[in-house]
Formats: sequence, C-alpha cells, structure tokens
Amino acid sequence: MSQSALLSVSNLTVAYETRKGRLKALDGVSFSVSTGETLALVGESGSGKSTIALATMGLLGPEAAISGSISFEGRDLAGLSAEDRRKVRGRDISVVFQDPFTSLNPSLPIGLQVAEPLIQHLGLSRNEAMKRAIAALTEVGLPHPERLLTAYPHQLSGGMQQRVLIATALVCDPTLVVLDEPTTALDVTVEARILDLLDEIRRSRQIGMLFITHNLGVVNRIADRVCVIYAGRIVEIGAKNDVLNAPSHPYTKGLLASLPRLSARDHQQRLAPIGGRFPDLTALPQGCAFAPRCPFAEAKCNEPQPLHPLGDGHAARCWKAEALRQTPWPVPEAPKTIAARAPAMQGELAVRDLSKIYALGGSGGAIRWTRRFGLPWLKIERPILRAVDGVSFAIPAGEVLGLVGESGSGKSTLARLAIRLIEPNGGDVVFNDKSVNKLRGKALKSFRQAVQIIFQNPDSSLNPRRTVGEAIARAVTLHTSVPGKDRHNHVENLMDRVGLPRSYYDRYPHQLSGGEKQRIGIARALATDPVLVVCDEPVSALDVSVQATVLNLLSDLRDQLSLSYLFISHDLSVVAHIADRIAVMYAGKIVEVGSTTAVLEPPYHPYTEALLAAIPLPDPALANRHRTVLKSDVANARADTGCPFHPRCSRKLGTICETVTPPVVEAAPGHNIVCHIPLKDLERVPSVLPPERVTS
Amino acid sequence: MPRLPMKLWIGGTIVVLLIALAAFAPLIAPYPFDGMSLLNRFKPPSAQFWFGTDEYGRDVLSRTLYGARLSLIIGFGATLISLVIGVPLGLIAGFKRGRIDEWLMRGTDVLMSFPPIMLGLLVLAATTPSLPKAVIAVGIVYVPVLVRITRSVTLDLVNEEFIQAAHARGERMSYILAAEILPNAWPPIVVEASLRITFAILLGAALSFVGMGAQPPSSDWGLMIAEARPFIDRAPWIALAPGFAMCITVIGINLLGDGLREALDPRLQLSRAG
Repeated sequence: MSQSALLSVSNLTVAYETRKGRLKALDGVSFSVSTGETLALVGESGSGKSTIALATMGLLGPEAAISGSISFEGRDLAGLSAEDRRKVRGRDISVVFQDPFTSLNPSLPIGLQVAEPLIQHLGLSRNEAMKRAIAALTEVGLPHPERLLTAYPHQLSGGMQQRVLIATALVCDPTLVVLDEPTTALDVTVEARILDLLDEIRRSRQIGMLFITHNLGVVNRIADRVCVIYAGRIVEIGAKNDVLNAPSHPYTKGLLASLPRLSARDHQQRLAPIGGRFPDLTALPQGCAFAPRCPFAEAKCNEPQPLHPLGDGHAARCWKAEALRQTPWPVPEAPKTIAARAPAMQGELAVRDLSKIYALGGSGGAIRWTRRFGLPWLKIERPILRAVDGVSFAIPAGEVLGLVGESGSGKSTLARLAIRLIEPNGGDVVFNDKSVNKLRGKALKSFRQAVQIIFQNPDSSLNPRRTVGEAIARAVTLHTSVPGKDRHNHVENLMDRVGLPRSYYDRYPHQLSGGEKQRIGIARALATDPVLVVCDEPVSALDVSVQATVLNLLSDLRDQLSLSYLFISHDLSVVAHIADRIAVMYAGKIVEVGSTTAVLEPPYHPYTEALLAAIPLPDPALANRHRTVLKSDVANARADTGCPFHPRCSRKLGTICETVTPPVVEAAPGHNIVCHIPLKDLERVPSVLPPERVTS
Repeated sequence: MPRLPMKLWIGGTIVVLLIALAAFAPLIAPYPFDGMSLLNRFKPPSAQFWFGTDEYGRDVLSRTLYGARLSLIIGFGATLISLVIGVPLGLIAGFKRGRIDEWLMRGTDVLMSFPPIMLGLLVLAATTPSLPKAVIAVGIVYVPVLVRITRSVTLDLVNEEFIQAAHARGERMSYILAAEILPNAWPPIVVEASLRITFAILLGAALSFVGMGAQPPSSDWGLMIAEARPFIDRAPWIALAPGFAMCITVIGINLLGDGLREALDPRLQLSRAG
C-alpha cells in the first residue's frame, strides 16, 4: 500500500438549514484514501455516507453549508472554482452511482456515453474517443464492445449497465473512483461478478477507491480499510480485518450481530438487533450519538467523544472501546409475556403444478399459418413469459417454507397466486383440501381470513390517508366477531404484540420509520387471526439492524401463534434464518427444495451452489473463499427448452441440458434437486459455506 | 388541528366573497342590470357609475354583479356534473381494466375529438336554449377529461401494496374504490376540477356569445365581453370589468384548488403535535 494520501478529507462538516433547525448531515469527518487502496464507508440509511461521496465530487447543492477541507493529490478541492472543479470531476475523480437503470441516459447510445468524458476532458476526436471506449468496454468484460457502441441502455441487463458505468468512470484514467452502493441494485450472483471486476481493476490500475455500502459482507469482499459512520460521525475506522474481527465501537458490534448467520447448523439462532430509533439529525446530543441505543451506555457517554486510538490506525469513537473489546453485543431473550395461541389444527396450503403466463407487450412475436376447422388460419403468436411454470409445494400447518430466487424468478407472482390475488393459467391451490380457485362467497371470505400477506415496501403497503389504528381495525371489523366497543382495545393489543407503542393509534404512516411501518403491516395481517401468512420480501427494504428486529418479531409470532409462513426473499441468508424448508426458484421453476440444512449443504443444485457462493459474508477469513462464478450478467436468463438454468450454469453437461427437461432427483427424503447431473457427482461438490466455527 | 395552507385561506376568501356578491347582487347593485338609459351611454367610470356604462347606458357594475350569478352557476354546476359522472367512471375504468376500460376510453376519445364549443352547441342546438341546459352541456363536455385523470390516478394506485392488502382481506370493489382509492385520488382530481370551473365559466361565456347560453338582456360575463367587443377602443371599461371579475374568479378558484390539494395530503402537512 502506498503511503501517499491520494484523497484526504479532514474535519468535513456539512449542514443544512431546515425548518426544524440546523441539520448536521456530516460532523467533523476525517479520513484518507491512498493510491491503490479501497476505503469502504459503511453506514445505514441517513448516516451521511452518500453525502461524503457527493461532497468529494463537489456535487452538493448550494443549500449545503460545507466546512473542512477535501484535499486531492495535494490540492484543496474546496478552494477551487466551480469550473476547475468540473475539470477534476470525471477526469481525475470519477463516480459510479447506485442505480444503473437511472444513471445512463436512456435516449443516447452506449458508445457516446462512454466516450463523452474523453471528448469533454481530453479533447479527443470522436473516432479516437470511440476506439478508447471500445478498449474500456473490453476491460470491464463486456462481450462484443463494437456492437455495444450503438446499443441503447434498455437493451442491456442491470449488471451490464453497471459495467458500462464502470467503463465510463475509468475511461479517462482517473486516480480515484467513488463508488456509491454500486452493487446494491443488483442480484447477488451479478453482484459477485461486479465485485470481482472492481477488485481486478483496482489491482491492475492501482487506483484508489472510495466504496460506499451498507453491506458488511461486501466490505469484507472488497475493502482494505473500513470507516463506519453513524449519524454523520465516524464511529470506527481501521483496517478491514481489525474492524470486522474485533469490532470496538458498540455500533459496529451491533451491526455485525444483527446479520443473519448463513450456516447449516445454527441458522435459527436468535438475532441481536439494535434497539431504538435513528437519532434526529437536527438535535444530535453533545456526547455519543449512539448512546440512546447502546446497551453499554453510561453517564460519561454524554460527554463529547473523541476517536479513541486502538493501535495500527484502528480507532473508535467510544471511551469504553478498550474495556469492551471482548464483550459481544447482547442477544435479547424472546418475550414471554404474551400468551401463546393453541396450535392450529388445520391449515395446510398446497400448490399443484401452478402456472402463470404473461403476454409480453404488443410488438414482436410472429404470424404463423395454422389450421382451424381444417382450413388454413393465420395465428398471431405473441411472445409470452412463463412467470411461474409448473410449481408444486406444500406448507403443512406450523411450517415455514422459505422461497428464494433472484429478481424475475417469479417468486412474487407465486406469492400472489398462492393467496389468489391473481388467477393462475394452470394448476391449483389447495387449502385444507379445498381448491381455492373455486371458492366463492363465504368460503372465499374464510380463506381470506385464514391466509394473509405481508408486503415488501413499507411505504406502499399502508394507505397514506389511514391512521395506524384505522388500518388495523378494518381487518378486525371484517373478519372477527370482536364487538364494536372492544375493537379499539383489540387493536391496541395487536399493537402490543408487534411491539408498537399504543400511542401510535392515531398516527399516519408518514410519521413512522420503515421498521415501524412494517410492524403495522404485520399487525394488520395478524388482525384477521390467520393460520398462514405469506411474507413477500418483508425485510428487504429495511436497514440491517431493523431487519433483525423484524425477523425476530416474525419468528416470535410464529412460535406464539403457531403460524405457518411462506417466506419469500432474494436473500438466502435471511430465508435460511427463518425457514424450516427452502425452495430455490429459478426462471419460474423450483430447482431445489429441501430442509434448510439439506439445502445449505451439498449436494446442491448448481444454482443453489452459485447463490450460496455469491453471498458476501462479513468474516475476513472467508473474504476470498472459493467461488463458482456464473456466466452472464442476466439474473434469471432463461431457456425455453431443457433446463432453464443451462445458459448460466457452470456445471453444464452438454446438449442434454439444452434439450431435455431435467428429472427430479431425490437426494434424501424430502430433498429434491432438478438436475441432469448424477447425484453422486453433486455430492462430491465441496461445501461453499464456511466450516462451523467457535464464536466468542 | 393541522395548519391550513395560506393558499387555501386566500383562495377560499376570494371564492366565498364572490359567491356572497353574486347571491346578494339585488341588494348590492346600485341599478337594475337591465335598466337602460340613452342619456348615459358610454359613460366612463365615475362616482355615479363606478365601472361606467355600456352602449345602452346600463350600469357595468350592476351587470357584472348580476353576471357573477350566471357565471358561477355555470362554473360550479357544470363542474359538479362532470365530477359526478366522470369520477366514478374513471375509478371503474382504472380498477376493472380490460374491456370496460377499453370501451370507456374509446368513448372519451370520441367526445374529446370534438372541440368543446362544438360539443356544447351540439347538446344545446337540439332544443331551445336555457340556463340549466347550458350547465348540463358544459358539464358533459368536461366529463372525458375527468374520466381520464381519475383513471390514470387509479391505475397507479391499484398496484400499490395497500390495495393488494385490501384484496387479500376480501374487501368488496365498492369499498376499495370509495375508501382506499378515492381518498388518495382526490388531490389531482381537485386540482383538475378547479381548473375545469374556470374553463366552464369561459365555455359558458362562449356559448352565451353564440346565443346558445344566457340570453340577452340577462347579464353574463361572457355575454358582456362579447357585446363590448365592437366598442373596445371607445369604451374599454365595458369589457374590462367582467374580464377583471373573471380573472379574479380564476385566480381565487385555482388558489382554492391548490390549497385544498395541500390540505388533503397528509404528507405535506407539518407534522402534528405528539
């Protein structure tokens, strides 16, 4: 690692004047990035990590009051004129933003967008610039770069778009690249490929990287040093191995503890969430901003906290850091105060050969001659998408079935089919031995009462014009016999159950945080007294610490109320934490199903293996574990014949995978794998999960 | 008590004042609206005639005050009619999709392909002109616009997860439309409706101008402006007073609509105590 600081930020403070007072987005942030080094900035939403990126690029609006210095290659950027700043931007420092789908201009060809900085900053001719653009597109691993020059962004997948953005960032040979959550919008198998690419580029070009993320697993994968940010202040900074192996600030400890462990043996261990709420940035305390949520807080925490050095450049903003080195974050006990419900006698949901086909938009497709009534007949064939393609599974009462798959695998469609929000094109849903698709009137109403759903997006799952109490009370009115005068009380009991204060009864959704909104969604689902709850990505939109709280709540509720869940997520570690059995879905089909332990251990379906291998884990010992890398950046690239996974499969046998539908192989009772590869070959694949370790 | 936006206060005050002036026009107006006087033709504004007089010597102030009645009746009445017909149709089209949506949309396409004035004339031409018919005609002309806007808001809303949650609870369509979708669809509808009031006033005036709406000698702002047109160089005040009145009305109603939108949206309110 070179010692010359490429970028050095010192005492950076960014404040906004708001109606509620002065909002300090950043408060005295200091760090440096050396040539060839990757510094990761980690924090939850609202921590100010993106503000650092924007401040470094000089892209904050005029309403931001900035103080402190940002010095780049010895020059103070803050002192430069807007015009000089612009010349640095994109040439010496470039940036890759989070969302590839909105970062590229949809109406300009790729070539122009990649070549633009060359023409702008280096004054190259168009032809020269295009040549360099092709070289850059080749470097980021895109196939057929010449053809890409004239392509438009919508023709590329998310992963390929992100590669184009990286090429655009690199094309002027910058010495520093700022990456603001570059892989967050991507699927995990694609993320793994992009992270590999970034690592390789950093090594070959010796550039500095400022990598912003909320994911400690990604940090472990890519960073040399880590800087943990909470409420606009650096709470811990140090070498990656030091911070992740020996987290010293309570917040870092909490963040690591709240991650679900991906392990075959103790996956259902209770999570340790961080309690409390993110502080109000307009009224930050003088002392430690984390103290109100910290289990180790004492009176002395209310004094201003300096960064406390712990040796080797490792420092934590906590006076107790040294004393707490060996103390782990406490795991809360399951609440026992609320009475359990008798186990549901019945409530088995089974899905048989379920299919849903969507016609894809108007144009495309073909006109073909067919025969009808023995006469030649013109038939328009529209392209179709088999969103769900012949899926069968059963959820016995009291069981949690986890359904995992990447975006486009059809898992949300399946969720909506299972509770009959949409009608299937084929197959059947059976609840308590009755076909759900034939239910009418009263029978349908009792199915609606027994089967409920929790949604992904806390902002869209609640009617913004309904108070919390009204939202829950409506379901009570509709499906229970609770008399009108007791309804208010009943709703408050439900709010107790999900851990919401009763005072929230008259609040509107916009006055609550994401985690609190999700609790209301859960309370609303519980209000009908269901036996099965479909959870459609219930924690995907939440921060890690809040995610842990909601996951704990869901598993407590399951124990108290003997619920069964169909738990859907793209995140295998979340699914593995809560599920008894896991079904892995790819392109509308289930490719593997089995008990959680069986799915997490070999034999694997090659796709399960790739999914497991792609998940970034926050353990430094596993930073560079063996990975199977999938082909193609298209999550759920699908094939019409043979195995749907063959276009991406790294273990493809040959033409048999392309032409013949793979058989269902029973690896163990209840553990099925849909693959052509002989079972004994699959059994020989080594485990991609870390061997079990003794944790402190 | 949430704080009401400033716009709502100003707009509301203007509209309430206008309605009061229109309602009490017989008490306030210094002269009868149709009282002609050949001696007082084309008198500029003075202490006797505040807004001057027109070519028949009628007092412009009195005529403007009386004119407010007709204009406001046409404006509010027609908008009410188009709301009552348009909003439910739009909700159903956006919610049901499919064939019903297709038929309704093609129907609105047909209506929208006519210029509004033509459509108004078409409705009125069949029978003898009268005020209620003018109100209905103008109301029908603006139905398609409200159907379309309601439908587009509904289309966005039906995919929201809270609507799916309502389906999962087994709610009836009427409940979902009235209790879940409509409260969230109001803001754009209210803004559109407030714009429509002003358009309706103008269209009513245009219909009066071609003799299909208000009949002379009754006074309507549109009719007054139309009648003043030949004398605009000699006696601009005749057109100025109703023009100015229309201007104030439009501003007042638009402020009211904008203010209502803000007041109706819980997210735009300052957070309440507690």
